Amino acid sequence: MVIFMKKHIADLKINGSGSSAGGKYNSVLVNGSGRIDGDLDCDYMKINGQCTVNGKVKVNSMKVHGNSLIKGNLEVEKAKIHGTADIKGNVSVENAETYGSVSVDGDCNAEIFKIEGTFAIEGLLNAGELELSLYGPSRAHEIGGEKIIVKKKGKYHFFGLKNLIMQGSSKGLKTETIEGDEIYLENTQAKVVRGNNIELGPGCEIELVEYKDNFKQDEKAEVGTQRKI
Amino acid sequence: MEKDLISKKELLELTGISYGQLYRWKRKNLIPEEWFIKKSTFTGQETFFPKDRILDRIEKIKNMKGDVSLDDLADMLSPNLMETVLEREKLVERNIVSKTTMDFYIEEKGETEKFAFEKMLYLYILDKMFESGIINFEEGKIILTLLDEQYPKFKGKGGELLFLRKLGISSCCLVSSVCDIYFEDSMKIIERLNLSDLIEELKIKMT
Repeated sequence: MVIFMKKHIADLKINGSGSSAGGKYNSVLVNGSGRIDGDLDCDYMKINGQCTVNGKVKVNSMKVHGNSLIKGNLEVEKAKIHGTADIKGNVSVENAETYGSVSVDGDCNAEIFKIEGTFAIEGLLNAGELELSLYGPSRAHEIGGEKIIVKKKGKYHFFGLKNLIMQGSSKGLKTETIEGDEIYLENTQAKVVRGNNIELGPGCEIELVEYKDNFKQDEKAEVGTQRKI
Repeated sequence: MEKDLISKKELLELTGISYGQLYRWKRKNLIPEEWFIKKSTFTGQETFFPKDRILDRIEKIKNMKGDVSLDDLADMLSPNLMETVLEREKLVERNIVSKTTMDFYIEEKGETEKFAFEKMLYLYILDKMFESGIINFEEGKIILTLLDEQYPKFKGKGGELLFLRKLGISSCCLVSSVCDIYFEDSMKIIERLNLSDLIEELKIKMT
């Protein structure tokens, strides 16, 4: 375990395996496995490998390659996650991209949020621009925002193979309600979808659609009731 | 405490805003989390809002968003106290506090030149009550003492100030926002002021 500290606001580096009590840092770098027992406030955070934070995290820019587990709230301007992120509190972020799997036990607020992979959000997913490319079953309690796009699987077809073998097992996105201005959905199961312009692609099962301006529906989409308001 | 609720759908129809805008304002904390009230209806869970407060808030946001950025607006609308300090003359000059109330305060607390936001709020509350004629200076004193001693504990939280009178004897108390309170018949609630609303009003007056 090696921990270097320098400057007035110190950097925290964990190479190998180590732990820290948290606090205020300029940058936090974890190569290997780290554990932070307390709240973390820093400008830049990078995790290569695995890191657990037993507290809340406030950071300007964050990069994760590997696993991260945050027991408290996460507040971040810019986040890029390759791998998994598991947040037990609420998330608030300006601009986030995740490749892999994300789970949030609370609410998630984002201006721009791009997810490739899978996600599970127990509360409300509230985003200005939301782009979800799903590789497997995902869920959110509610989704709201300005522009919401949900697509079945992304550009790589590696996971597509799994879908081929376990056909019908993954159902894409499952949620109670989706509300937004512009909505495009594929492979989505929802009770209610409300918005100005709504387009449903293949694989959607929606109980109730309420739209203001336009509504388009793929022939492979199932809709219970649709209403123009 | 909440009487009239309005459903999200009705709200959007009535105000002409879109789902996107509503969610955006929620994200920016322009609409407090507590106002989103979940209720089960026959179509599943629906969200309701306290009618008067949300309509008033949306009107405010719509009117002001052209001039101020959403983030500034959020600061203005949040119950958190501002960091501003204003001089005594400025407060009177800008009609935030009347001269009488200011003189009353000076008499009670001694010469003060600069007022922190918290003190301004006390003055504002007193001013409002003096103006409406429901309290006299004697009663102003107990309110000021209560605010001075107890309000700091409320910091950042909304709450209500109740002014009561029973058989000619007056009293006041501070309660935190979510609570029901009942009194016996002979106790009259003379005035009930919502502190977050007042903070909001004061912030708008100051800008």
